[in-house]
Amino acid sequence: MPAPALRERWTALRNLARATRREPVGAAAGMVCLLLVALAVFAGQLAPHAVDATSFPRLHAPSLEYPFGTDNLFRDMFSRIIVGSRISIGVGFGSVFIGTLIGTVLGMVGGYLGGWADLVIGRLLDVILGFPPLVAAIFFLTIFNTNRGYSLHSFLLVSLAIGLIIAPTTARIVRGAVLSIRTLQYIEAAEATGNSTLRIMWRHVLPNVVAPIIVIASVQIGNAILAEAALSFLGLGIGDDSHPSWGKMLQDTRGVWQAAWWTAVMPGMAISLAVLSFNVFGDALRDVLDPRLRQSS
Amino acid sequence: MDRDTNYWLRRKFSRRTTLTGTALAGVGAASLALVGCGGDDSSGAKATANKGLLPTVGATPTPQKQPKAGGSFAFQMPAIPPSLDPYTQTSYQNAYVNGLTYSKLLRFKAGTPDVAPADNTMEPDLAKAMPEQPDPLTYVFTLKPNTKWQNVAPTNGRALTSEDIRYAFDRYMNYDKSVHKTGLGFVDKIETPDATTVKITTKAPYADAPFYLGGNLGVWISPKELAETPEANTRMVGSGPFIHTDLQTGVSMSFKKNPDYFDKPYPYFDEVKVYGVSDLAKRVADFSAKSVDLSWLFLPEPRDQVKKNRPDARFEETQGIGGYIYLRTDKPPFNDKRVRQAISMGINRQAIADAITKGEGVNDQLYFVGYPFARQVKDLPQAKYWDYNVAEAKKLLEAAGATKIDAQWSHADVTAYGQEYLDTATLVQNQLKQIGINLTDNTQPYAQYISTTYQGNYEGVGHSPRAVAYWLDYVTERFTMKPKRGRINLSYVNDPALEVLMDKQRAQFNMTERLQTVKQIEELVAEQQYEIYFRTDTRTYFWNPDIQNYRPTVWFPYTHIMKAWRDSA
Repeated sequence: MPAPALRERWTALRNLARATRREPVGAAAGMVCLLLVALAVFAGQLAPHAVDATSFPRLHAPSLEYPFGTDNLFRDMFSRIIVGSRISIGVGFGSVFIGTLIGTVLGMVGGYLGGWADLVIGRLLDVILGFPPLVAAIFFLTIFNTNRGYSLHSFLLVSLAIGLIIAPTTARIVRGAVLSIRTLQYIEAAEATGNSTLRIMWRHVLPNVVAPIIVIASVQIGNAILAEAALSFLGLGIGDDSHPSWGKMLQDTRGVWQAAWWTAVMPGMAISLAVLSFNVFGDALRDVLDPRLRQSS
Repeated sequence: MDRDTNYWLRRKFSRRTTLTGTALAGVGAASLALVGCGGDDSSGAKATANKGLLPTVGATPTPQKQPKAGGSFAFQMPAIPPSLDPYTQTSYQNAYVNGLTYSKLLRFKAGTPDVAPADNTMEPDLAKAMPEQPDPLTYVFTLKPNTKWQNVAPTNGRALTSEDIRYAFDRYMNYDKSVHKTGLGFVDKIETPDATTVKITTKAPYADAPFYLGGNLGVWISPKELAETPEANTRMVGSGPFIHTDLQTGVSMSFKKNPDYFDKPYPYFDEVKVYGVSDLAKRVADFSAKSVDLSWLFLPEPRDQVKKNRPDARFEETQGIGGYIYLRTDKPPFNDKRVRQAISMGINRQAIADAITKGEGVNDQLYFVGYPFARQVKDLPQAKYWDYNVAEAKKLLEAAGATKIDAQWSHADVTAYGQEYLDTATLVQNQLKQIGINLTDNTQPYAQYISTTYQGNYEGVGHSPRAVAYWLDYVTERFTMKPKRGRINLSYVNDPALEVLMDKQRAQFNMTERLQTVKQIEELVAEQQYEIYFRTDTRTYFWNPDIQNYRPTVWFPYTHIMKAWRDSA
């Protein structure tokens, strides 16, 4: 390996170690996030039983044989929670990708162009923010996702619904960052040398607003997972019997919560753990990436 | 910048701590609360002793009390109907509320303590008496002399005449959007010799005519002034005991007393409020909190919760609701009876009962097993098709050359029929995988399901709860193809032998002879498995102890609420 590349890698590792020392809770949360992602990717291999197998005792309390117990339809909850991570994490990332993409484009266009574009985008965001987020997602899905169930179409629609409700936050943060950048000299220089607006936004503005975008995206993942769970609980998610999601698991077992506490607590804990991990990790990432906070430590 | 002096830097630490602490505390509190709630199930002991409960058939005499007029009455039903137009709807949800505002020629006597929940005896409604029958084809009804429409627009209290009855039947039978055409296919003509006489002539002798005319399908008398306007979807104006005053779509309906009701001294209540509550937990909570006077359709698990929460409440268990699947028997692979028999044998009905009804209920067949005349499944010669037998099911599929089947399973979402309906679908779909039948779940919003799948517009398999029919000949609507597919012939059955039997029983006014034919129909359908039945369950009705002269009925129309009163009114 050439020396500069090696040096660069060492620097990165040193930075990571420093960040870990400075943000141990955030680093631990990051590890959990990585584990959750790995769980989702390798769910098929990790789940001890088929998620739709109904050959187990009904409402068996957590034990060595069934670590998370079994549900009211004779299914192993441990396997279902592992496989359920696919939808929860998948929609979490999918919706944040969509929301971040939309929010970044709107924020950059509004912030850089200003004037009418900024005004129109600002009011559009106000309209979206005027709706309670979950109500807006329910409204959207009730109209557009008439064929519910596990499909790519439903996945995209649910991701889009959640993406749309998180996009305004991203857009506002990006806009704010772009407003502070667009008055800087290197932007003026780029404009003076005849660069097109699109090129300036792509080559000079975007790279300088990446840090806040990463931070807000990482925090939004937790919110998106929570929104997905809520939508699934309300029957508007994409899970079905063979493709469980944590929110739907809660919905499916609602009638037996009093008799079998684990049917509520296990999926609930999975949701809480995921949301908490991504939120804490996002918070820590913000601290690490924010130069003002970095200087103060 | 110093962390100790800068609020935004200090906030970083405290926010995370708060976030972590709140989430963990939330999970912990939820866990503890749930642990605290669980485990105590002692109230179910008495109920589970009645495994396989069949309907209550005996009358319950109660001491006569002096009725008290006034007060209000609130009850819950699983959902508010998507449309209120009786001409275009067949939903049981409509039947519940239709009875409050509309009248019929006849009505069920049920709903008072002296009538058992499954007793389908009829009594006159708009008619002065039960019909005269001068010959096997003719029924002559004489209307009560004082029948009138409610005194609200557009009828404004005008007299209800035989012409209104003729109009209603004509619309049920001929309106292009009517969903009752096949049901009323037995009617040949309706004549109105004078303002109070209605003469109905049937095309052939039809032993069930009074039951159909007093039932809840295609017989509610709704006025022309309303029926032909778009308002018919959102408003009801009839001649019944209660005036419909408000509809909150999907949420509630309000009614007030009809002071001009022709059948005095009814109704007693001044107001009736109906709530659509699909959420079982909310139904339990609302009744437990005394927010409503009556709630029903509780399965064993919630039933035991309500009993525990409201030991003062009166209750009665009635015959339950079965479920079944219908299939496209006009197309491969379900056109082969061996495939259908295999499906039936691939279903573990006991597991369904264990999962959903605490093991209560019994296997169901074409004629609801709660009827006095119907046979228990175990007594049918074809009982083996109800046995869970994976090996035999696979053999049948192999013989049919259908060892791997992929099909769609369409059903309504949770809002219409409750979680137990979806749980049954989940269980059966999984069970059928064991015999090589992969059913793709297609969950539809109720309005979509009832207007597409339940009208026969589906492929593969459909799933529905089954209403308990009050007339023997309901089989014709399920299985006839004459002159066209019956209203709920959702399996597209086209069986000449079955048609012959159905024709035969329709004309048999002698009940003993008719039941012999019914038995043949039972056996033929059991052999063919045109519809595949699951289990019946037990459903419990709860009502406040101060409500008098009330008893549950399994027949949907709730006209009889008019006969109840409140002690404390």
